[in-house]
Amino acid sequence: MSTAPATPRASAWADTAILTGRGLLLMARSPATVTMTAAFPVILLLLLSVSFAEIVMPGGSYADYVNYSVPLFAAMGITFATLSTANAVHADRIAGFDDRLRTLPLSPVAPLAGRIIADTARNLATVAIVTGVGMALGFRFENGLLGIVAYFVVPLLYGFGLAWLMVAVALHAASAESANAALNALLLVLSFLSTGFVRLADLPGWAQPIASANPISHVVDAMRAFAHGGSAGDHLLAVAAWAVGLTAVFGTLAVRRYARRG
Amino acid sequence: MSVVEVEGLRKSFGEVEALRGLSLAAHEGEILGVLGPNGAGKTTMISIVTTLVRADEGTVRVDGIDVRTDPAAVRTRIGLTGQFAALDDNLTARENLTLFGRLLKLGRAGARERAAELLAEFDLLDAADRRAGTFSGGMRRRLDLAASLIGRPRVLFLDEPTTGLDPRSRNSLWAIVRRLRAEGTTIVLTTQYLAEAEELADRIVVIDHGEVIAEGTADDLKHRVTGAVCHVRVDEELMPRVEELLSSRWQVSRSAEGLVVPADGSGTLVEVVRLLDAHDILVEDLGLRRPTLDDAFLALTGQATGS
Repeated sequence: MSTAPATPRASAWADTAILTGRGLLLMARSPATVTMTAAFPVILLLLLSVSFAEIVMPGGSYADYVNYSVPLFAAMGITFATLSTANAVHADRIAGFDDRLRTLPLSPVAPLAGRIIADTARNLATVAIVTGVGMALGFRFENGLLGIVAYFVVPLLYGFGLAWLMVAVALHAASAESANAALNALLLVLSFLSTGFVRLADLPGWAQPIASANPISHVVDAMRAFAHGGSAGDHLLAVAAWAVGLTAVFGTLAVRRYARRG
Repeated sequence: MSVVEVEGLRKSFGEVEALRGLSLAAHEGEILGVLGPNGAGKTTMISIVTTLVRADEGTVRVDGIDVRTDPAAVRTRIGLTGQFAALDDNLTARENLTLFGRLLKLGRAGARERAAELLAEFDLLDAADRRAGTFSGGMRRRLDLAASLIGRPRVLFLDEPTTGLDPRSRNSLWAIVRRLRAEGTTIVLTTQYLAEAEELADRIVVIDHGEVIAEGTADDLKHRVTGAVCHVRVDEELMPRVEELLSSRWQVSRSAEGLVVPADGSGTLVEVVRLLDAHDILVEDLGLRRPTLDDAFLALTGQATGS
């Protein structure tokens, strides 16, 4: 009874920072995961710009469509990267690493938030790579330094919120395989029913309300406005609302599930 | 005094009752062996005591603290080494230990220092900067055990710590457990191996079907099987027939050495010989001996252990 240590207050921030560090270290150790994440949207950018440019923008140049579509492919890259965030959370659980964490006096927010924040760095790399390739194809920033910064922040905000949804699903799912398949389909539908590929007016009537509410539309339109000028305010607000809402709802669900004791 | 007190623990998973009112206590500084066959409820009990799983009923106190009401405080006092290494395979041994040390609020420098200390103590210095995923089974178990000890826990829970280890790794782990006990750590060790319980534990609790069925030192438990036993070994093919024959007269159990029946003096031996001879059965080995802990376990649970 003599040397019992005092209970350290569960310090959510400090714990999150430590586990974010772990995520970054793992990422630095396998740069291939970052490259692979970026490869998917880059391939889409190259393939679809060639095939869609003429259809979406008849009379426009190839560079015009690239200017239009780069934000979409960056956003899609982030959208699908949240799947690997969810898979990593699932893997920690299966591997027993979580059992170790759960026997430590640790905030249940920290393991999940740490993973998601670390993956935000990966998302930043994805946006940078897609945009870099886009610039080689004719994408241009025309709205000053602040515009560039905002262009990068918007998709990261969205990626943060969406990651909580994915992680919540991963923690509740019975099987990783079926969850992956279902989420993949959802994300693909979400990507296409947006103003990312084609303009709102060119979408079929039934799809327009979906596209208007779709966070991907707002992400992409905000990024376009921040890169090329135009009004970004409403879109930014919508993205922020989505990010906060997803984090509040699914963050709560995920953390509650994580902390639950069988 | 009791460092771990478990009282009336119940836990069901769906239809399956894993624990049915299990009670036990581990005293300060002792190694408590929790012995039972697969599915007896050992791991469920450990998971509840270490805050991973919530009990349906019953109370658990660790160092006087209720696991249900203050799991965070319990977590600062315990270490757990489960059946599967709870490590990050993509981090090195040193990084794993430092990470857990920092999460235990040792600070960056403190965590690094403690990691170096444990790596030396557990003979892992040469492999300290290799990824845990490249470790052999024995090394992983040692690293996992080291990770459980970072916070200098008052109670260490070892859930089947030597399952799947080769004899050399097992001996090295046993030596570590003894050393920890000598340093004053209270240890609760589950095992399905009698030899392990007899070798390490100061006291043994035998559990089966989620209940405690016997408790005491290894010697106490051996005395549960009074008198002597008669053991018979025949060719593997003949075993079922011989078992049937003997069962008509005695309560027979199977053990690693063959069939065992309780002996009432040398008369039993003679009767067994006559019975088998009458059926022209060739005996490979036959004799009377004092009961072992194995026999006690068999008598208590009606089934053999993993040894």
